[in-house]
Amino acid sequence: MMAVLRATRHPLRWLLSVVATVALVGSVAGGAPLVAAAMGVAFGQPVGELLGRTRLRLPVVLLLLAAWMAFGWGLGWLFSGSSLGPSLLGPGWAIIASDLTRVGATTFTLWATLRALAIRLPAFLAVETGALGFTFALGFVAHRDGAVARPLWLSDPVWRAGFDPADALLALGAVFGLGLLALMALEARKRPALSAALLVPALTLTLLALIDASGLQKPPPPAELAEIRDAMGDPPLPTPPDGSSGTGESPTEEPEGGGAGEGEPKDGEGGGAQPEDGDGGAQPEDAAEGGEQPQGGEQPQGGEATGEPKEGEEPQGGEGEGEGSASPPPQPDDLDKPSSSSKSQPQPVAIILLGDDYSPPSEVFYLRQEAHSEFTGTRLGPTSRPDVDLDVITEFPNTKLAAKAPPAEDGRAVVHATVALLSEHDRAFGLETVLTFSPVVNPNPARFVAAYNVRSAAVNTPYDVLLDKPVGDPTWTEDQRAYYTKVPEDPRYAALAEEIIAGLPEDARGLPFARALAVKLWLDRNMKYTMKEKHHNVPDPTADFLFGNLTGYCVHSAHAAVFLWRSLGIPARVSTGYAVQASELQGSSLVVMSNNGHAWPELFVEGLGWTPLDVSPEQVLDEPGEPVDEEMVELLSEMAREKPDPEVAERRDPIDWAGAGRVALRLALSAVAATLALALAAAYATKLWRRLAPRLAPARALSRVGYRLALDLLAEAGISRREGETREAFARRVADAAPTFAQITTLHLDVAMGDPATAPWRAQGHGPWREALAALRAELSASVRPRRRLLGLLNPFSLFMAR
Amino acid sequence: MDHAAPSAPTAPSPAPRVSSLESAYEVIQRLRKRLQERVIGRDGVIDLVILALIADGHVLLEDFPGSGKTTLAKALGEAIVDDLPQDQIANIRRVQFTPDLLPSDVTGTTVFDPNTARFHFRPGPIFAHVLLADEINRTSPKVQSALLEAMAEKQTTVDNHTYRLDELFFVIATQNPLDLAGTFPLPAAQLDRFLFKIRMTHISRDAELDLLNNLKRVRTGDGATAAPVTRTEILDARRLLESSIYVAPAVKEALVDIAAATRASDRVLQGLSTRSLVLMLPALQARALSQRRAYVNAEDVEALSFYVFGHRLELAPGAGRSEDVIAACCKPSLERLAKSTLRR
Repeated sequence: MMAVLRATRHPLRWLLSVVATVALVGSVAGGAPLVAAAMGVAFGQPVGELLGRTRLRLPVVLLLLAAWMAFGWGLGWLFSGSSLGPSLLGPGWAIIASDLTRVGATTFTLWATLRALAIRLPAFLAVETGALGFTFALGFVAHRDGAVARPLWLSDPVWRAGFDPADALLALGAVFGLGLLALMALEARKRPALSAALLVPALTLTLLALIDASGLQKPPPPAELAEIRDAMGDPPLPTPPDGSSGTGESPTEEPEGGGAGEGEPKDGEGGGAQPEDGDGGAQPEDAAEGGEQPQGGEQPQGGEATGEPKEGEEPQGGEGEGEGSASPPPQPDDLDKPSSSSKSQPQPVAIILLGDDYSPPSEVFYLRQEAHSEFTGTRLGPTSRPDVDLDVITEFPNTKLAAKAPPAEDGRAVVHATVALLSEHDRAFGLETVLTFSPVVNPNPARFVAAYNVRSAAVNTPYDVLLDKPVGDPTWTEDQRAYYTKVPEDPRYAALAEEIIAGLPEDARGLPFARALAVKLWLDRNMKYTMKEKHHNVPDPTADFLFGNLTGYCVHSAHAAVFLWRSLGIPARVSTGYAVQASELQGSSLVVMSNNGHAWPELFVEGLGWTPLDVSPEQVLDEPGEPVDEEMVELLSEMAREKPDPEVAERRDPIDWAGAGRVALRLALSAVAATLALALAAAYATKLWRRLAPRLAPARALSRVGYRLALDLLAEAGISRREGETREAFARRVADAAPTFAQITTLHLDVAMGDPATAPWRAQGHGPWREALAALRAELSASVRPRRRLLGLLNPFSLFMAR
Repeated sequence: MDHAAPSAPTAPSPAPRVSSLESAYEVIQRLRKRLQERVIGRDGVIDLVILALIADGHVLLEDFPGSGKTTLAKALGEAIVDDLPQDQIANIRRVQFTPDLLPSDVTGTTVFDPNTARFHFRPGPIFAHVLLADEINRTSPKVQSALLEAMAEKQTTVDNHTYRLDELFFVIATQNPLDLAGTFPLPAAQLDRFLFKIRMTHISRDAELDLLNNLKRVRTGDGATAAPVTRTEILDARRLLESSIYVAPAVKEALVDIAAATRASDRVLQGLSTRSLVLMLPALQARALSQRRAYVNAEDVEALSFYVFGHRLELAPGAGRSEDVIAACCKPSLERLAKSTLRR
């Protein structure tokens, strides 16, 4: 039975080495060399085995194998290097034949050599097993950190099947690792070492701790939205490469720039493309790219050129209403990530199923994710105050979340919607203004990463009705009002604002909303929209935009509008998220594309709350994008409407698997640690108790506890009875170190094995035991070095040595 | 020679009755000392022979010719003073077993007395305290089995009439382990009658020199300092064994476990019989007594297991040496026995 089991190691090793070699060679070559390598390993292993078992001396075996390799290379040279091969086979076949012989001979020789060495020198068993694992891993090493989808023969079909190649690679690695473990267990000389099985959980824990496996499975978040957020939080100053920015013009803003309010882990990564800080480790390449931008001070021009704006053409400026000019931010530069095949195309990031009939008066669906209201010197950032922007929910819903200060519902329509996310977001978004978020079961976990329901109170009042409305909330404190109207010290803002409203009719000049509208319309007319102008290396991008060439994109126009409004005393802020044209609505489905990422200005209308009043430039310099594929929208909305699989429905999605994995790991580790600590405490308590017991025990039990203590003392000195050794023989063996132990043994055995009817313990009493034990201690302290005794005293496992 | 006091069979002998462990131990010590004076370099064998004598068993010695078997047997016989001389039973008899030996040559026979016109029973050599059965495997199974009845039952049957042997009856049989031509090897059932089978080896160089230097004293027994023991003392010690040496339940469990282990072992064709365990008990007790101990301990089991079990096991072909097999079978039980002492 055991022999049969052990014999399986040969086919197992053979299979693993063929698979590993094919995986490695397959990643760099195909066709003839792959076949040659497979043949080489398939024959090399058995031949090495046979050679190893012959009586030839090892150097002879190695020489033979080297000669074989030289022969293969010589033959290869004959085919391709000399004129003989091509003349015989023709040039094409000559190259193939050369590849075959060289690759075949090399793999053959390498594996045969390893095998022969492993048979002759057992240490090479480890080398061989290691070579197996290394070869296999090398074949997939291009897929580092889940960022590169290689090898393509694996990743493409897997993508097509709707899985992440990282999952497939992990599974593949796990299977191969198990195979290696089985091989290691079977290679053991005497019997399969089950201790090898213990390596599996150990290896798994190590892997989990090292590579954050659960993080690999997420598709990267949309870089476009990150770009907007990046721009929002971008340091206004050109930043030296070492990250310690500051040209002296606006030193007070420095700390803000790096932090960007996004909770990014490092200052250097202030504008990192990773919205989820916990995920940073899984996508180091992405993070690195994101981090470079603010530091380098240069936007990747190449990516920008291909990032085509889509809706730039849309605004029909005549109406003067907030025709959303959702602006496509530039694509991140050439990241070789799984979606690399379509890197110049915007990707769908979410599908929204509207539950109520609603069409926004601005013709744009504003999907708010964040609000930026705190003036930080030159720009607006997320608030740091607890009493403002309470209508915005800044978490991702794992349970039902409600806004702390929802707007009044007058003038707004309550809209229910279901959002199914195609990529990770660290906070949810929904039609402004969100009343509640509640998570729902992911309808199609293979396609969507999460889904949730949103109830929104969306603006349903035409702007002309609002014209005479006052702005600001009467319940605000002075402080809050001042917060929402704080503007740069630059006097040009106020001057420009006054200049703009001077053009208003007399009767409208006093109406705040009309003033705001006038500013918007002025911007609509005068700004030139382009993603190419970043206003990047200037201290105050907004001022640079507004008082400069008036060329820029949404972030600039939003800031400009807000600052102008605030100069006029109108409470305003910038919101970010997605803006989708109402015309994109198909039935009740709305697809959010990655290039819908947008920043827009909002003002607070009394009784209505925060109301978007977006700038829609009449002049768009960028090329228009392509319309959204209708079939894709249909497909996605069908998927989003699917009834969840009942089995999957058991899991309450969205669950943060990465977080749950980390928590589970932490729990497991702390459980292990707690168990160890408990065991340690129990061991020391037992030791202490056994030490004290002879003083407390009744005479009847003395022979047992006294002898036990003697055994403990000996065990601490490193002396313990061997298996099967009698107590008397043990006593004789330790007579040199502890002569009294023989006497203790006799005392013990007299009671333990003597006739209980004669009650030998009565004759002994405490006296002899106390003396004998004291003598034993004295003998041990004389014959055992103090270091050893201290070590024994501290060793909690000495209990198990006392037999 | 011992007929000096023929008329005082029931008179209290000068030797005090053996009634306590101490006195029994003293008897053993005296006997050991006496034998050690006569047989040089064989202390281990002497101890085993004394144990067998006290445990009421018999001994099979396996040795080469000229290694002191007869000397040992003779010394033992002479060390036991017959305090019951009127029963006509000799101290020691020796029978050289040959292929043509007849059972009656061992047991004795009835002869016709023309004077009285009657048949008289003439006792054979087995009517002795110590019988030395030399080269027991050279005689026919018929003779061997005649001896067997005597060893097991302490009686012999001649012409349908059963005669009791002396209570002390103790057999030392010998056989040559190598010279097997024309022998009748003892079957397993017969081997089972011997408590110990002792394989003797050559004595050490010092002992051999000592022997040559003191040849005269050793041969004649002159100058012996140790007093002999009496037959009654030995019988008393035997009786004392049963009543005074305690065998802990754990020891009995260990014995049963050892037997079970030999039966289960695939290196053994036939495991230990229950009888071997029954015989083991008094041997263990005798050893405890010889160590001046009132209870049997694990070391007794370890020390005697090979001598008691070695010839009772039938090993599988290629199983190796019986010492190793027995040690392997004993080890787990001895470990359990050792651990049992710390149990409540």
